[in-house]
Amino acid sequence: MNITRLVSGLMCKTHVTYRIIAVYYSLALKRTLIYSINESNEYVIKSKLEIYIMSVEQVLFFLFSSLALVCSTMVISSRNPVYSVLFLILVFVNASGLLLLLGLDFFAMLFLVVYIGAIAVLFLFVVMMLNIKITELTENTLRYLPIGGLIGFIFIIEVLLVVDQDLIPNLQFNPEIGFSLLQSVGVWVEFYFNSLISLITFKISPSDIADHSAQLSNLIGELNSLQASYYQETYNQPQWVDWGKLVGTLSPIEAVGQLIYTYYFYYFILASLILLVAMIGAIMLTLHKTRSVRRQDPSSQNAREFSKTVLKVRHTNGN
Amino acid sequence: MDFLSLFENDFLGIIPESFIAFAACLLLVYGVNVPTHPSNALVVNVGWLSILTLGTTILLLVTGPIHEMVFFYNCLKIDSFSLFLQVIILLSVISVILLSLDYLVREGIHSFEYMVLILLSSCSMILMVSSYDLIGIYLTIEFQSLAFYVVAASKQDSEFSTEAGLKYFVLGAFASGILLFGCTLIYGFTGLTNLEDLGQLLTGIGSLPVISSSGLLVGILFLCVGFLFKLTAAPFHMWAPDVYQGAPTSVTAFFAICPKLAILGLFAKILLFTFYDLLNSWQSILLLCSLASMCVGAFGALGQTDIKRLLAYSSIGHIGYLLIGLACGTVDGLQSMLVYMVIYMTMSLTTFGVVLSIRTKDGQAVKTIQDLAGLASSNPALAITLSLTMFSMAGIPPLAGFMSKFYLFFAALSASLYPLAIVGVLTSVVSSFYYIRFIKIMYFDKSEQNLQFESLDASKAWVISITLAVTVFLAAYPAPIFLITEKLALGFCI
Repeated sequence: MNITRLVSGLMCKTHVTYRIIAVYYSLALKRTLIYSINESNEYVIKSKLEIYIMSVEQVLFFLFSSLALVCSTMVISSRNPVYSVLFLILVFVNASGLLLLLGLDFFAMLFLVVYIGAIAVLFLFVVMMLNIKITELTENTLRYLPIGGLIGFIFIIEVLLVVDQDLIPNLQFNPEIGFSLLQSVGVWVEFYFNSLISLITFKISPSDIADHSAQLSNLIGELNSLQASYYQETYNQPQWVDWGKLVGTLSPIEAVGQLIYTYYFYYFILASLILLVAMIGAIMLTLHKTRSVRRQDPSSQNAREFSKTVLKVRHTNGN
Repeated sequence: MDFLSLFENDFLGIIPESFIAFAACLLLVYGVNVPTHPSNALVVNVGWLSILTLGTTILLLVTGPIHEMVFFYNCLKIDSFSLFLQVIILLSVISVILLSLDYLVREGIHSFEYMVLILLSSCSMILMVSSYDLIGIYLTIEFQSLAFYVVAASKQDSEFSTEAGLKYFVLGAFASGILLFGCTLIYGFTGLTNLEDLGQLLTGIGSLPVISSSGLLVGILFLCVGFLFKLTAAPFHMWAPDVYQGAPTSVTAFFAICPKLAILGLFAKILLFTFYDLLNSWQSILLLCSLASMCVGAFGALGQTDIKRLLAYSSIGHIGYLLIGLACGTVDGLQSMLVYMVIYMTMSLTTFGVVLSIRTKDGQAVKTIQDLAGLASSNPALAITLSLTMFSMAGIPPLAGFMSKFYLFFAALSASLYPLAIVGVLTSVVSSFYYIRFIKIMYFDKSEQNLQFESLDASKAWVISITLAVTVFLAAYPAPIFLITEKLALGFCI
């Protein structure tokens, strides 16, 4: 298939740092070759409708993740601690929405039950019982911004240095349309971003960037010109089948059950022992066996003679 | 599918651990149901039962049907290395319980849960050294730490103890988070959590010109930081003096000895078995931490007056020496580290035994070093014991401490780690200043308040005398320990 040959040829030519981008395009091209099987066992090319559904998922993903980010910012910046807890609940809801998008329905429910049903409600109780003054929390929030911002900036730079380009997700490439304007902007943003990181780490010199950007624009141009012939070639003959779709899969609950209760039951038992320790610890640290604590003795309570428990006392003094 | 056949023989391998867990649950039920009176200290009763349990566990370990197996779906692995570590951990726990029985009664720590928690944490420690998977490692470390936080705060009427517990909890949780983050990064970049699989994946990666995934290295760095934090190695040591000072002395003895054996053993297993091919990456971390720990241990202790604080700094220094052996990455290094571990255990047991048994006239436990003044006249036997142990810790020739240090420095030299050996010798010279200051205070200082002579209770006396005998006479017949450790170290090469 000459498209992959061309892409790999381009890969050899370009610089190591940008080779990875060529790989992305080869992946993006392959990705559109997925065929699905209909009821009568015929290979059917995925229609435009499914591509549309993909984009709905993307919209949902961006909705949930951006809402989660906004809400988590509100958790630490809102003045009233009760509002903070409510925003925290919203963060959890968004996170469980993200889990649903991944197809982990059981985990999404579990997330809701555990984090909102147990933890957030506990937080809410604590916040309401402590009766924290709203004004106490508002002062001095900006005082730590310079040092905190500096540390955060350093941390972000470190993470960027560590995170390899393997972790950057594939670009969407639709062979029927070619590159959209947004996608080519994305490619260039990615390019300059990577160049900046490489500049910071002294992997390349500034003069290399111009060189590489010329190579990249060449690459994109060739890919775009190939798009038409590729469309002609591949849509007429099915190339390969996504065998992964044909394998029977377990639902998340079944998979979790098999892992936790059968294969890795050792961890489950270990976790139960940890909970036992937590329980013993909580009781040991809070139960004071001193005289001052009033407590009930059930056996003597039951052994009391009920006829003698209520006494009639005549009030003599005063009225 | 019949899943029972998956684990048909696996339960034979975990008999000792499950015995401890069941015994701890039984003791819990026993302690709740036996009526307590202020006069009847249940903690002693449960303490003796725990000693019985741990002794039985050692017998089960040694006479167990299976000595080498990977089981529970690659979650656990027992072999001679883990067996050795388990036995010395259990021996040290037994000794610490024997030392602390009298102390607990006198200090009014009557809650029997103390012993149950120690039992559960020893269960976690012996599971820890046989863990074979990053998840299992994290879970056992968390299991152990959770028990420790509670035990550190076990003296409810003391503010120091509560503070120690809280401080330990916050910082320990932080360290656990870092450890877990490291495990996550390693899993994220390799897709593996099993130690053997990781070792196989990384085989030969050191000979490649560029290690492609820097995320894996960061994961290992975080893992190392988590472990070094739990070991109180130097840049991560700041919690140790406060926690050691605040916790009851019996708990301090427990913290200073038992978990270090377990965590160091596990650390050695991870680094030398799984990540050996990345030796160049983690060696420098250990090298720096070892240098820093030795310096902090030597210079930090100079100004201390509180005995427990001083011993905390001393243990930081010892961790520095132990890390030398690990940083070598050679058979000699591992062997000398194991020898040092055993000798450190016996020396610390003697020291804490003596500290636990000295009381002033009004029945208070000693706090500062100056309180030891006049011990030579009030209790000469204890004074001689403490002096011999201090000489051994400082590394004076015929004693065991000298032997272990000598062997360690020799291993460092043969692995071309000259800075470690040189700094090690220099810091051990500096640290001998405060070890010998103990002896000067005991023998030559005039005391305002005389110490009271008290005969030791039998359990403490046995432990102190046996460990002292090991310290003094090991040089005469060191063959067994060297043979065992040589065998274990060679086991890593196969």
